[in-house]
Amino acid sequence: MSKQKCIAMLLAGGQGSRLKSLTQDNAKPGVMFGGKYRIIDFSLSNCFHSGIYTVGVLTQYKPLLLNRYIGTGNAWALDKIDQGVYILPPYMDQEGGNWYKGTADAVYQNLSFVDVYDPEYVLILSGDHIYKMDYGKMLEYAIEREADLAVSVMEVDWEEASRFGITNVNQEMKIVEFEEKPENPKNNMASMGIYIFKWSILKEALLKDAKNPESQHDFGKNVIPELLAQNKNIYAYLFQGYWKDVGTIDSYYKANMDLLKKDSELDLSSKELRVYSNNRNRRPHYVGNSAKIRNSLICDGSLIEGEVDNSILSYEVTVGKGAVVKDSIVFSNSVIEEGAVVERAIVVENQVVPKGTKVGDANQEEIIVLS
Amino acid sequence: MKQVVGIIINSPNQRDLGELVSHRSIHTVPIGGKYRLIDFSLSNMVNSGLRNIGVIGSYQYRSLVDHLGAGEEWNLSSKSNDLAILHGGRNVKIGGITRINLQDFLDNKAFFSKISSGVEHFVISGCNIVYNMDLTEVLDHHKRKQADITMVYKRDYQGEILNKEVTLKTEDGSVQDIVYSREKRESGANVFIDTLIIKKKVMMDILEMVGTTGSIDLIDIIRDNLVNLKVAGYYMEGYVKIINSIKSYFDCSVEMLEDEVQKELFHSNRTIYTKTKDNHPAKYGPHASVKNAFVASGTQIEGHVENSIIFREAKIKPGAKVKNCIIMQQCEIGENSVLVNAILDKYVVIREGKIMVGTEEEPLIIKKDAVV
Repeated sequence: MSKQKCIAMLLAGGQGSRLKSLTQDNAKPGVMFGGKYRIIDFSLSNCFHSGIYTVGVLTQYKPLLLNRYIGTGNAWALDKIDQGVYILPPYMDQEGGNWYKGTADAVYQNLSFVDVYDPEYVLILSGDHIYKMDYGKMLEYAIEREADLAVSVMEVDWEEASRFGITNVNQEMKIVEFEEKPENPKNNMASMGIYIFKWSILKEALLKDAKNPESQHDFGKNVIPELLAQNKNIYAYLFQGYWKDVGTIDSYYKANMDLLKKDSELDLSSKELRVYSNNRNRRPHYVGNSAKIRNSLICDGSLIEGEVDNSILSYEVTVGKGAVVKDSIVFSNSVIEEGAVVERAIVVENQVVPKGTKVGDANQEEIIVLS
Repeated sequence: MKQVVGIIINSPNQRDLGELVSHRSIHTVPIGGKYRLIDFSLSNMVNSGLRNIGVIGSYQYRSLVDHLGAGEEWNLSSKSNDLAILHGGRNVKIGGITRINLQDFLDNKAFFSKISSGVEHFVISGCNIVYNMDLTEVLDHHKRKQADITMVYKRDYQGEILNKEVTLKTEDGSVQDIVYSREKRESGANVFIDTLIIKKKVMMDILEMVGTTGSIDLIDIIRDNLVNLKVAGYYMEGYVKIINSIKSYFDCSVEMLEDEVQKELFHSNRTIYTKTKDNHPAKYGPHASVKNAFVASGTQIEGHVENSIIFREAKIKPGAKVKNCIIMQQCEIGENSVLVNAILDKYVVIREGKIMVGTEEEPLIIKKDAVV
């Protein structure tokens, strides 16, 4: 096995309970996004474009769909010899085994996986972010500064700053303070949950953290504050571009709708850092004589005879005559029957909205999820 | 289906596909928004459980190799050599018209000599047939009839007369006579649709003696040996179209917009596979208006589209009107232009305000890469 500069560990184990019924049968990174994609496509595609071909995917909650979706990793061109995508669920050894107790614990339990590759750096990723990013540039940045840890940060709206981990840096971008969800943030540089650690530093920190009964075994809450306390070389890497955490129904819906904006910041048609996906081999979608489609994204296999306005339809969605889908997201294989109305709603996979019925409400703030 | 090997021939009998085959082999003529002609025959074989398939190429290989790769997209594995691309097309330009050219088989001795002894039958099909067919049923029929050869035919075939069209006279499901019709088709004729099953032993014997027969067309040899061979006919019920001319290409594309045809070709449990692309979903702008159209992924539709097929990554700009057209991959239709009854090959750019109108009988054809 050749020694590798950097491998990625992708945290995909969370239930994503704030996404409610979207994650009823599916881990959060496996949830559909933008019609044909699943959330994890973004991180996996980024890995490929960054030249990081070894990705450990740490799964725990309802992993079956996600495992099947990832397959050999060939959809992201990650099926390389001695490298690739590896699903890493919790496992047993002679002393027994445990569920992953936190983000840091998940990586700790797979120390031996990382050691096989003996990388200089380990990239830690979340499976629930929508963005295009070249991690290679961040790695160069970390190497140049001889950083023990580089944390990717971006400027967020001041009103939102208290929802994030906020980094306070000096003039050289060295992090001097890290505040998790501060009430009165000192600046608006939010951590994106993307870290590049020197493996030697991370390994030592994880071994120490695992022995600490007080720890919640979380990167943001425990590991990074501990390394700061040890005065390690920690730098903030400023990312510019589109990045969204889609941890709640509201943020998930908004990020989808961002794709429909004119000159959307996240350009899925550009060849640069193109987002790959495990594509379904379906016929082109068919638009009938009575259809009206405006400002929408439609995927292969769909059959549209009704009205679709400002909406996103995944694979093999049927919209019957006289049906209206407006400001909504419809997942694959769902049927909106004749005359039915879907407005400001999310309809998950394999649903039927019966003839003449209505889902969602234009005047309601909350997005209705039909599952 | 380990005992069956599939062979897709290079179908050099296209009468007039003109510009569409000037730079690519007929196998890879784009059709139906995202497919290539060969996808239908190849998917039929794969969906019928065949795992050893040879594709006879023609002298223009690049597009074929680029499209098929090692066959992964058709669920074929490179490890077990499921898919082989074979020599072919050496004799396309010389001699008379053949339906199944045995010279192409003789040129691939290495492939045929390596076929395992457990193989009992060959399925042979053309590469330019649009249909979705369960070949296991044909094979069952072939075995039940204890036939040496089973030829698939369509009664009342709807399409242009084929070059050296083959009509089967059948009685009790066995073929009594094979007749070539060159000018017109009798009503109720059983038209052979370039799909047959033949016992391996019979095929190998024919290949042995082909030098002495004076013909290299398998159909000629079958016709001349009907007394010695047990030849069965299999009636195909569903939609089928052999693409042998611009007219049949255009007709087939229009027919794909029909509900019935779509259901038969694409809605069954037998997926027609093709090379997938990492395109974004089709994007409709705020002023798009689309009616009766097939629209593929990666497209950006901002204008008006009617009765048309829009291939992957094509762009229809605001104010453009596209009617009865086939717009291939990555074409760009400029603002306020008008296109009626036209076939645009890949990468064509139509400039702003341009008006181009063909007729249903003779659609305009715009060459690959053209800027007009």
